[in-house]
Amino acid sequence: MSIKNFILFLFLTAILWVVTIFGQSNNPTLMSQWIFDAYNKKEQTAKKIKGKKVIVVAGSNALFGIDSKILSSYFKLPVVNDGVNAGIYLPLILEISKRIINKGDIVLAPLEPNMYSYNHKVGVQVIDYLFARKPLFFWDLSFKEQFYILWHIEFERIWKGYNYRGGSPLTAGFYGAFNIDQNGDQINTSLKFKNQGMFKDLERHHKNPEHYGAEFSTEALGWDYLEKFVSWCNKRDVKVIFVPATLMKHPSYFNDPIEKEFYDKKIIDEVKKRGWTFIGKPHNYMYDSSFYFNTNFHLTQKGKIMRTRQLIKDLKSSLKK
Amino acid sequence: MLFNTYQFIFIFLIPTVIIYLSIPREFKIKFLILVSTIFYSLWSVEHLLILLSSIIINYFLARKLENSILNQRFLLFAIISLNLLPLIYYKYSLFLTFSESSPILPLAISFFTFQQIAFQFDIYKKKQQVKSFEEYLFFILFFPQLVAGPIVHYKELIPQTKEKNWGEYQKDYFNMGIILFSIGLFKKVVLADNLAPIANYAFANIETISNYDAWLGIFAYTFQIYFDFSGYSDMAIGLALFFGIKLPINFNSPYKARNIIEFWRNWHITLSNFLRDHIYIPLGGNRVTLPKQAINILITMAIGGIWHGSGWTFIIWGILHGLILIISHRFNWFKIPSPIAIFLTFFSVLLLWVIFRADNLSDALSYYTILFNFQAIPINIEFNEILLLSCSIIIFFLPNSLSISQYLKAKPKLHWYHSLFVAILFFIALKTLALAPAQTFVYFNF
Repeated sequence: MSIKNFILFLFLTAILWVVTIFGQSNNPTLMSQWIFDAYNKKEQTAKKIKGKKVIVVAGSNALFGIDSKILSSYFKLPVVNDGVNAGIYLPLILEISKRIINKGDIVLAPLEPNMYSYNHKVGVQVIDYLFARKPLFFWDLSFKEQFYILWHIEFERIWKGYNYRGGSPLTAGFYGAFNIDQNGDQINTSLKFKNQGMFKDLERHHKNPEHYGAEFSTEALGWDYLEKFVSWCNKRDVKVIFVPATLMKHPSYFNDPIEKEFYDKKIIDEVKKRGWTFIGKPHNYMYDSSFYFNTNFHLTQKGKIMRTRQLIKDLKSSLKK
Repeated sequence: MLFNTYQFIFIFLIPTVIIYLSIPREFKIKFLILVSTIFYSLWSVEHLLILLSSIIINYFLARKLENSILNQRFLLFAIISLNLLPLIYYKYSLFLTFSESSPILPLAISFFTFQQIAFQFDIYKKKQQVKSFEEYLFFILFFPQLVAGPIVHYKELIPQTKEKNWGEYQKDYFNMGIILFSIGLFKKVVLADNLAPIANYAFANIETISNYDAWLGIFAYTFQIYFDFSGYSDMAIGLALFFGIKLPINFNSPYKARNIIEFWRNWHITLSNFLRDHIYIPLGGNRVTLPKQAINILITMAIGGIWHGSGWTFIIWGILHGLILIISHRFNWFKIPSPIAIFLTFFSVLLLWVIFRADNLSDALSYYTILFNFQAIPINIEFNEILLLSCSIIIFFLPNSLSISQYLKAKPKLHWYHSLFVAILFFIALKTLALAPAQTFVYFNF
């Protein structure tokens, strides 16, 4: 044994590791199934629409919090709610949305606040979805993201990638295409579907507010992805309008100077500085916990209508100017 | 800085080794003192002052002890008491109700206190002479063994620095260092840190866990504490080899012991030796009547227990080990077939870990009640079961680090597959570190 051999074998082990990861790419996993089903259903809806349409691009705050029918009556255009899960992060969300964006469409982007601070540190859902459903997108990511993903994929995830024998659309549970209407909105979110566990989850979220303001950076990688996405849309005559996401109200978002400034100014200023459109004030989209269903981003049926009306009100007043 | 972090491995260790190998021999000890001081100060500068004060005071008192003609015994007693005072204040003030809150325990205080007491004993017994202050600083501060042992004697460490080739790159030392460090890192990061949640869950939910979860929990803790501390010791021994120093072994398959005497000869060997040499033998050891000998064993083991932490659980754990030791001394275990003896010893140790791990005696008793309230075992082999089974195989059927070192030492030439094996272990450990924040070593709390 020599140090040279040790380093050589360490390097070869790393290569073997990468080969093992790619050996299971494109194999479906249970974790990614509902997201895949939801996007498929939304794609089918979008394909049926001839002519211009409005597409809502975001995570699950849009899935649960946009009433596409009400929004459609305002725009007098069909609306496809492409919001699914913020857990797959900004690069994948933007990339996947491109499959249904056509010339002349309008993109409404109520991106979750942490999307603006996206850096290379992705979570397990991104890694899972990427290798199970969209492995080629790996090569479009930055080297830093690629390295991070290869180094952070769990042994268990690879094992599942090789061993999962499912792949058919889910038909039961809470998340999935079967619980989404033809516009792409989540259904069955009225109070009667809210159980004790959901109340407890909301209480837990309320006790542990987010600190997105502290994480915000104008240098974050997320802005590069947004730049590329907006430029891609502009080339297709697609208008992108950034609007606030909904987030369960918490006093710290109004009292903590860093958090307050983040929602009042920082996101809006940075979007506008780049020559893009931002309509609405994030604080106006924060509601009491009773309007949320099971997380601090998921509105109930009632909350969804209230949020959509707020959005229309802001769009009306802003577009009038 | 923990050994099991990227910062330690890539920012601290690798540059330290490179610089160490490239500087002239006369600066090597100075350099190791400097990096060891930096290593400790990254935990706490305030506690570094305590450590350095303790070293300075001990050095000058050792000189005094060496040169004193009268009352040497009294002086030794005074020095030992002086060493124990900070330990008692930081570790036991809450337990002894000196204070209503426990001060933050300086890292390694139990280890550097015992190491210095052992040194003073050696001076008293004329086994050792006080040499230069620089060497004494190095003897205590040398970072691989500073934080959690092995507890080293001066004569085991310093003479190595006088050897002809010391400080040069020695291929055998280096290879063994990489092997032991990689094995240790794997034991800690992949095994111990994955066992910890199973044990933590069981001991945090004593009121609600099932009989099955309680057994899983105590097996997990039994394996966790072994892999955690023996992993640390392997890493420490491996690290020291990078600097041309052989540290004494601390573990030698203790769970394969055929009786509790053998267990203590193979578990935390340097602490067991310290307790034997500096408490049990001075109390009279085996040279007294049987009842006195039994009392000596109980005192020694009670001190060994409380060394691990302040609280009745630790004292009782030590005393119970002492009781089993007394029985073992009176009973010829070698008449029992080996597998049965190993099984009985292992289960005694396992059951006693309950008291050691529980927050208090009441929790320990509740835990025992659940353990022996047998219920049907659910047959579902999941990650936890596979992990425990793998750990059992490693502990009972695979060679330990000492055997691996001896095997490799005996081989005239190491082959490519040795490198491959070590590279895979190291890679898996590094990879596992990416997914979970580095967890401190169990023995850092002691």
